[in-house]
Amino acid sequence: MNCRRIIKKIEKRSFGVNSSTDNLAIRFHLSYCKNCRDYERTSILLDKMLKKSIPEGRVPVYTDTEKQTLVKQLHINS
Amino acid sequence: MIDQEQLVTEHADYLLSFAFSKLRDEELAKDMVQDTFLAAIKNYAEFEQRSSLRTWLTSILNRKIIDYWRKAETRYTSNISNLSKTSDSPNLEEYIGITEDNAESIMEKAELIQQLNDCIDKLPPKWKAAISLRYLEEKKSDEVCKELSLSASNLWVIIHRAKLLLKDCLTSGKS
Repeated sequence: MNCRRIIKKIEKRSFGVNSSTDNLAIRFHLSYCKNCRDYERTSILLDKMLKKSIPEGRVPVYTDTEKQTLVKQLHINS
Repeated sequence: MIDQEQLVTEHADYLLSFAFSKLRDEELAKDMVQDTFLAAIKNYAEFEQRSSLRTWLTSILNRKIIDYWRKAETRYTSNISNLSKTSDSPNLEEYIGITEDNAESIMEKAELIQQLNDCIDKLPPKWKAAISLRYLEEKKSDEVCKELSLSASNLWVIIHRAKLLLKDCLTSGKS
């Protein structure tokens, strides 16, 4: 199986939808392919970072002026 | 007839926050909220009041966001073929000093979190949406595919390419 297909399976696995055959194919391929092993390590690390780092973050709000402008625009456009 | 001022006063901030959490782009989120209000005013006669007004508005907004994602450009303009050569670029673990075993420690690195979020914001809209739906909203793959009108195979490719771009962005320090 080529690297492209294995990489798709690695990503598919991160969603938890791989079959056991898919996982076996990954393990076999990784046993001899350094590029895909590197990719897998990066992918797993990014999975963990993304899960932990995407914050609820800054929540924008309208200022009173923006709300007045919005009401005016609704009047004009509706 | 719907009171437009009351509509804005009571629901604008909530809708903006909803749109921003999905789109991660304040100006775009504001445009979507305005379009949502216009659609609501136009179609208010169809609102049957079986749900709350806020739920109805949110469903209109959500449909608009999904439409935006579906129409959004999927391709990345730079030379994507270079992205498959992972071995040529720096090792992410070494570069940021975090391994998969201690990924929890990212929470202590505010600068890195900011850099990662800046990198996510630079992804093409549909890729950013896939990452947000997957990691922020923790949606299943079939739900992400449905919302973005993607085949499963396309989704794996988008996630793969997005990760390579994120790695590139993080290791180049050009967030």
